[in-house]
Amino acid sequence: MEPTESKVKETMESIDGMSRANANPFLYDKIMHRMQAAKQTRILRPAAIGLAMAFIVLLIGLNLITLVHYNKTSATQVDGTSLVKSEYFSYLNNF
Amino acid sequence: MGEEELITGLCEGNATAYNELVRLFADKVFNTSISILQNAEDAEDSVQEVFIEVFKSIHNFKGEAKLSTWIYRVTVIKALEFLRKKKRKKRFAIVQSLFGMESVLPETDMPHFYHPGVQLENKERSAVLFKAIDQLVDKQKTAFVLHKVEGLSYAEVAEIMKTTVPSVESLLFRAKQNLQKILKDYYDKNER
Repeated sequence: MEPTESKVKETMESIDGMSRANANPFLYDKIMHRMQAAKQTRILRPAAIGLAMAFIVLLIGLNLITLVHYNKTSATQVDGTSLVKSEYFSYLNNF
Repeated sequence: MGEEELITGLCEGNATAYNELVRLFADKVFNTSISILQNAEDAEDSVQEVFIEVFKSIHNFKGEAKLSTWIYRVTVIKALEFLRKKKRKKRFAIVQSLFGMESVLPETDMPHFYHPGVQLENKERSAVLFKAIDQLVDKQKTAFVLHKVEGLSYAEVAEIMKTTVPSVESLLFRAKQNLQKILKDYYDKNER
């Protein structure tokens, strides 16, 4: 028999009579811990999504308020400028 | 605790039944998983997923097959899913490495997995065999692991794989042929 063939045969037979690999003795505890963690995630996820959505709504609201307030302020500023302008020119005309 | 009593307990969410199921099947599930995944950490992760899946879907177990057959089936499905995910991640890492985003170590031809149940004198040879088993297609790999590593009969393997005994015989015949070819190539390449 060729050496390679004998090596192949030996390798094929190398797992004959092997025993079972043993699982972690704390497997049950690990499974329970993982199930508990998954349950908590299931509870927390909708709350987190709700909180994130509320935050986005709040951000948009604040943005809108700022925008409206800015528009009003700039309108007032324009009125103030034209008032100063008219007063200045009326002063010049009367001078 | 009998099988029916165990299933009833599991359906009711009884902690004693959960514990008993894990005690009865932990080694069988782990041995099958580690032989397919060839990595102890991945196997432990997959085993946990198997039991969680079994606990969750025990209500769907109709008792058409034995409980052990059903658990072996879930084990094989989960292990093969795990393998596919791992291969996808590896491919993604290779693509990333092409763009210089991450470096990937080149895969060696040398065996890297030592099954804990193998006798010490067969350690090196069996590592080479497991490396070859990893190259088989899923069906041949499953049949070979269940029969040769887990020690199940042709009939049991057929039931787990939802096929017939002649199909299992044929799968095992082809698996052995392919393994012999892979091993011959390996020894021709590496030990000359």
